[in-house]
Amino acid sequence: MDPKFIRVLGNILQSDSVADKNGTIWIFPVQRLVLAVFCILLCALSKNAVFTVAVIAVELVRTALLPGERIAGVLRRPLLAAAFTALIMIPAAAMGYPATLGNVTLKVFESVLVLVLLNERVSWKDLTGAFSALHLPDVFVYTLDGTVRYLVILGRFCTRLSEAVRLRTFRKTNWRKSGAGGIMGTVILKSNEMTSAQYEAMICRGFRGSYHVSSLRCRRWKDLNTAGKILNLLYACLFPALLLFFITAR
Amino acid sequence: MSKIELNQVSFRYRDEQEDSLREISASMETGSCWCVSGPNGCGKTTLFRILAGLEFPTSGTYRFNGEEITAQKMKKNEFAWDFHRRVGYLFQDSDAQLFCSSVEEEIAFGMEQLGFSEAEVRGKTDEYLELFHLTGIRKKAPFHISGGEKKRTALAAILVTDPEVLILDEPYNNLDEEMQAWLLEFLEKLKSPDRLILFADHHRNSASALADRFLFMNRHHRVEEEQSKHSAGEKS
Repeated sequence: MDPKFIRVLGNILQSDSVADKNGTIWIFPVQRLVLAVFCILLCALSKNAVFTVAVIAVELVRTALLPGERIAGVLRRPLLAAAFTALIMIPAAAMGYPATLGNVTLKVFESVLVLVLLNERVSWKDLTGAFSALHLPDVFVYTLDGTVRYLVILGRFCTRLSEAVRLRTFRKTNWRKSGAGGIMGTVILKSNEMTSAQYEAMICRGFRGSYHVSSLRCRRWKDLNTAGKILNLLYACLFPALLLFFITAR
Repeated sequence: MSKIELNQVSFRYRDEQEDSLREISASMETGSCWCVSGPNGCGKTTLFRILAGLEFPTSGTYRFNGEEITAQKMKKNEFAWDFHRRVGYLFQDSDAQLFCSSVEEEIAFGMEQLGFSEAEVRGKTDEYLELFHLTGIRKKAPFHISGGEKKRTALAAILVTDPEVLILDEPYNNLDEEMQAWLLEFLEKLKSPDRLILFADHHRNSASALADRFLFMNRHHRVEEEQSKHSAGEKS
């Protein structure tokens, strides 16, 4: 394939990460999310490998257009998942169904690759915003948001604590082992403290018991420029195209 | 009528042997700016938590707009909502105060809870992001920003709803000298006949430039009250 063509494709696919900075060209995260789920669903329903292989081919092209340092990270997870699936499916091959092994492994590889690429393209915040756009309960979005936030904050707190322990450990002693328990206990206490502080902070700012996802998180059609609108319309065309291909590939 | 009236307020945390606050009385009117000063552990934050309706006196009374603030009343959603709409509280630890996914959502949260329209929320969020020099980090998660930026975000999130009473627990913490000077100037502009400002500060010099009343607390939690020299001079 002509490298120039690859470069053009790359530029188009990179458009939303560039777009976030100028805020006028991006694909609605909800479209990306629904298309990813749709793709996985169709793959699961396909009876032969044609559809799955075609989707994998497209996704691999998308992966190839990512910056070099991210490609390995993207491919590692689907490859691991596929290897694990193949391992589990070995008995099927031994019992005379090698096609099943191949099909299931390919489907797992495709599903994980689609999700990993979705994660590469859409930030966590936009993804939870997309959940909200799909009318998932706000409390579900809030729980997801909160979980990720606490994982980051407490993870960082835990790292700082272990650094402090390491700095005070001059030689290998049992104290280090007892320190691990201390760190765990402190992290639990800290998380408890943070939860009540967060509740108080919310109360102080008018929270009355029902959480709503911020309207700022929901992207609006009117914020897009013409190129962005065209890009979104083209993206929407992928749904019927994918369905048509699925029907013919069956 | 005083905006805030404390009458012989004492407070003891559960499982504690000693009072954290002992028989504090003060009367605070709108249009004034109070500095609560004293050494670490003297009970400034506890006093502020009572004023913000997060804790309630063990004995004595706290009146806001003439109405006694009690745990029973604050359990009523409407009453608590109306109270918190009028009182803005800046926590000492900004990390504890910031819980949204991005700086802009943090600023919008209060307005959305108070029922502002979407256009108003977007407009005011942009305005306050600009005002607090946060536009460049509007999409960032609050736990990824610096201490000074966190403090500015927390302050913007409170001020955006324009509360009648501002309670600022050590607002100069984590701010460099330039930002401290900016905040001092900003708070000076916020002073108005309709607003009561309370802040905690260890530094007498910066506090005296802003406050017109002082509340000194010592380790035994006794309180002395003093009018600032520049405010006394203005009145005479």
